[in-house]
Amino acid sequence: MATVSTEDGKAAAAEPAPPRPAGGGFSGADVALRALLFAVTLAALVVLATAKQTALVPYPPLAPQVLLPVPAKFKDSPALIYLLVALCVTCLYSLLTALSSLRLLAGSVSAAKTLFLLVLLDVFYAAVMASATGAAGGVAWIGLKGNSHTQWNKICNVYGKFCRHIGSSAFLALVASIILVLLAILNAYSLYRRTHY
Amino acid sequence: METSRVKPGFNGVASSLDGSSRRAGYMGGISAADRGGGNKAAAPVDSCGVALRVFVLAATLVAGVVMGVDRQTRTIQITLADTLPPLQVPVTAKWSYSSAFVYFVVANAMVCLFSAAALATCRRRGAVVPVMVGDLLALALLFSAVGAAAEFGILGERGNSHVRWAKVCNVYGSFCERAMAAVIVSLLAAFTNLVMLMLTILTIHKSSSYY
Repeated sequence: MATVSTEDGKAAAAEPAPPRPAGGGFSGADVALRALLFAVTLAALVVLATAKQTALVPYPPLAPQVLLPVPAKFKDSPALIYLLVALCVTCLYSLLTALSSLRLLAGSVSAAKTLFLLVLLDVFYAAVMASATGAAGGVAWIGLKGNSHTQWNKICNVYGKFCRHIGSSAFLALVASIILVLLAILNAYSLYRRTHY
Repeated sequence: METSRVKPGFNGVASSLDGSSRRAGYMGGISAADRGGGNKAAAPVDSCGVALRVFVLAATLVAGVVMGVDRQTRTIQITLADTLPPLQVPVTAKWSYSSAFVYFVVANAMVCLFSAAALATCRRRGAVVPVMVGDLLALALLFSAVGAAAEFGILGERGNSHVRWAKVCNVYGSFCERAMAAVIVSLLAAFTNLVMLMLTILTIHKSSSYY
C-alpha cells in the first residue's frame, strides 16, 4: 500500500513535465479500482453460492393442502449459473490484473503493451459482466414481481432469504460491471492522453 | 503471365493514386471547413469504424422494431368443468407484457440514437473521447439488455420446473421465434460494438507515444 501511495505521489509530481516517465499517467486509482472489483466480485460470489433455502410450499398435483419442503438453489436457473461463472472469471481476472498493474506502477514492465491489453480485456469483461447482470437481474425481477401474463408466480414471498441473496448478488454484479466500465474509461483515457502532448 | 501480373499492379497503382488524390482533396475540404475553429486537421475518417457503426445502427434498429411490432394472439381452450363446453379465450402476447423485453427495446433505441449521433460527429477530433465513453456505455447497455431478453426467452422456451414457471413458447410459437430473432440480431450488434470499440482503442494505442 505504501508503494502505491508513493508511486501515486511521484506520478502526480511528474505530471507537469511533458515527456512523462514510463509509469506516469497511470495512477494508483487503477489498482484501487481493481482491488475494489476483486472485493465486490468475491462478495457477490459468496452471497450467490450461499443462496439456498428450503421452504414449505403447497403442492397442487397432490392436494392443495399438502405442504412439501422444496429447496431453492441458485443452480435451478441457468441465468444464475451464468452469473456464477462470470463472477468467478472476473474475480480471477481482477486479481491477476491488479498484480500486473502493481508491476506497472512499480515500473518494472513496459507500460505500452500492458496498458493496451488491460483496456481490451477490461472492455471484454465489462461486456461479460453486463450480460450476466442483465440475465440475473431479469430472473430476479421475475422472482420478485412475477409475470401475470405468462402466469409465472412470484417466489420471493415464499423464498425470502434466497431472494435477498440473489438480489444482493445481482446488485453487486451491477457494481462490478460499473467498476469495469470505469476502469476501461480510465485506462483508455490515460492511453489517449499520450496521443497529444 | 507477365502481362497479367503487370496489369493489376498498374491498375492498383492508378487506383491508389486516384484514391490518394481524392483523399487529399477530401482532407483539404475538411480542413477548409474546419479552419473556422482554428483547430488541428480533422481526424481521418476511419472507414472500417464507420461501416461497423452503420451496422450497429441498422442492427439495433431492426432488433428494436422487430421486438416492438412482435405480437401474437392465440385462441386457447379452457375446460372449466367436464359438463360445460370448453371456453374459447383469446390470449395475446406482446413485448410490453415483459419488463425484460421493454428494457430490450428501450436499450436498443438508445444505442441506435447514440450511433446516429456518433456518426454525425465522427469527423471531429474533440469527439473521440466522448464517443468512446458513450460506446462503452452503449456496449454495457446492449449486453445487459441482450442478457435479460435472452434469459426471458429461455424461460419462455423451457420454463423452470423448480419454481413451476411453465413454458409459454408452445402456445406463442411465432412470437417466441421473432423475439429470439430480435435477440440474436441485437447480440450481433453488441459484438460489432465490441469489435468497433477494440479497433478504436487499437487506433489510439497506435497513435500514442507508447507505440
